[in-house]
Amino acid sequence: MSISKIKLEILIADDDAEDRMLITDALRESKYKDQISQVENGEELIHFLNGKSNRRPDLILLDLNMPKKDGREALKEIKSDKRLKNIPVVVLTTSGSDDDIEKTYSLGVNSYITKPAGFHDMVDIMNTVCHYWFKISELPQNG
Amino acid sequence: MQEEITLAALFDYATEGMLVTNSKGIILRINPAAEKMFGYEKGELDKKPVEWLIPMGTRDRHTKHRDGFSKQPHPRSMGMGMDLFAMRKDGSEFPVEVSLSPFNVNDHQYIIAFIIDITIRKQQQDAIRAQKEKLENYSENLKASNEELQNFAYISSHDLQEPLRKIRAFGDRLKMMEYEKMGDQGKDYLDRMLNAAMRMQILISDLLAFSRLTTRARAFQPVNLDRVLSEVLIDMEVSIEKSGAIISRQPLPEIDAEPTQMRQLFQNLVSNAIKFRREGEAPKIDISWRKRVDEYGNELAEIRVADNGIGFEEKYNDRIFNIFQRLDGQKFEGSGIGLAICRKIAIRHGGNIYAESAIGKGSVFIITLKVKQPIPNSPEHTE
Repeated sequence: MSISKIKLEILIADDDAEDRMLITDALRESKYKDQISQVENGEELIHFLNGKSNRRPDLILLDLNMPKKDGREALKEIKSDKRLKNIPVVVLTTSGSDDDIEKTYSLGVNSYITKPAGFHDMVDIMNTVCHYWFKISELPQNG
Repeated sequence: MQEEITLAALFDYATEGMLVTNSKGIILRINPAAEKMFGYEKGELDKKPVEWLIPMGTRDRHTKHRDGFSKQPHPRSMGMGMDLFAMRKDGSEFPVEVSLSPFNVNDHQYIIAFIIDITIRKQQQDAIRAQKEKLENYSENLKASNEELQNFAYISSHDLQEPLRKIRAFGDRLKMMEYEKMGDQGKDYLDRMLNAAMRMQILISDLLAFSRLTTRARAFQPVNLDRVLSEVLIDMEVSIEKSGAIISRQPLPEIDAEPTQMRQLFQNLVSNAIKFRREGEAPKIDISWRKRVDEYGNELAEIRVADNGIGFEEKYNDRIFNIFQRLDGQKFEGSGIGLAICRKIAIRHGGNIYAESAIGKGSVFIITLKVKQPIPNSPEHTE
C-alpha cells in the first residue's frame, strides 16, 4: 500500500486557534491524506472520544496547557480507560521543561514534542509522527 | 606601710567602681569612682546597705542571693551576657557588670565588688545588633528581589517566544504560498522580516539559557573537568577541523561542580577562541590550569584558555562579560551572551572570570572555580 493512499484520522486538541490552524495546514502539507478533527480543550476531547458516533481517531495531538480540562488530566483519563488507552497520544506543546516531559511520560504519553518555530519544521514533524504511528499500526497486534 | 599606701591609692584612683561590704551587705568602704557612678556625695554611702544600689524591683531577690553567696562564697562575676541593672541616687537605672570576691580578715567575712558601668558598651552592642538586623533584612530583600528578577526574566522570555513562534510560522506559510506572486521588493521585505524574527528567537533563547543557569540550577557533584573538556572537543570536532585549530591541553582536575554548566563553560570558551581567530591563520588554543588559594583559604582551580586570535582592546576587559554586550564594529554573529554565561557559571561556582588581551595579540581567559563545594548528602550522581 503506497503511503499516499494512507488515510489517518487525526484529532487535534489545542486551545490556541492559530496553532490548530498551523497544525492542520502542516498535516495537509504532509504525505498523508488525513482526516482532521479539532477540539479546544480536554473536556471537549473526552466528550469527542466518548461520543455516540464511537469515532476512534488513529492519533491524538494534544496540547498540555488548556482551560477547563488540561492536557495532563485528559491524558490521564484516556490512558486509564480500557477502550481508549490504545489510541496513540502525542503531546505537542510549547513547554520543553524536563519536569513537564517526565510527568507527561509517567502519565503514559506515546511521544512528547515541543512546538517548533518554523512551519517547515512543523511539516517535518507531522510527516515523522504520522509515518511512525502508521508503521506501528501495521505491526501485528498481539493483544 | 608603703604597701598599704599603694593599695589605698589603687582603690581611690581606680576608674572601676569598687566597694567592700561585710557579710550582711553593709558598705564598709567605697571608692570615689563608685560614688560618682551611683551619683552620691563622698561618704554618703558609708555604712549603708548595698541594696541602696539595687533597683527597687530586684532588691528582695538581691538580698536572698547575697545570703546565698555568704554561705558559699567564691569569686564570681555577674551581669555577663545578662541584663543586670544598678540604681543611681536619683532612681535612674543603668546596666552594670559586677564581679564579687569574698575574703576573710580575722575570721570576719568581707566581700569586695568591682562594678563597671556598661551603658556605652550596651549602646554599642545594641547599635551593632540593630545594624546587623538591618543588614540581614536588606540581604533577605535583595535575595527575594533577585529571585523575582530571575523568575521574571525566565517567564518573560518564555512568554515572548510564543508570539514569535507564530510570526515565524505564519511568515514561513506566507513565503510558501505567496512568494512567487510577490514583487522583488515584497520578497525582500518578507525575507528581512523572517530573518529578524529568527535573530530575535536566538536572543530570546539565549536569554532563557542565561536565566536557567540559576532558576534551573542543580546540585553540585564531583566532576572530572578533563573528561568534560574531552567531550566538548568531540562535540566541536567539525568546527575544530574546519578551522584547522590546534589545541594543546594539560590534564584538568576533578572539582565539585554542576556538570552541564562546566560543559557550557568550555563550549563557550573554545568556540569563542575559534570564532575570533585571525584571518588566514589557524587558531591555536592552549588550556592549562594551576592550583590557587583565595584570601579566605578556599582551594581554587585556576583555568587558563589562551588563543592567538584577534584579541580585543584592554578597555573592554570588563564589558565583554556583560549580557548582550557586543564590541564596536563587531562583525561576528551571535547574541553576545556566551561570556555572560561563563561569568555567571564561574560566580555560581565560587570563582570568577577575567580576560587579558590586546588587539592582534590573542586573548587569555582566566577562570577560577572552587574545588570543594557543600554537597548535599544524597548520593545523586545522575545527569
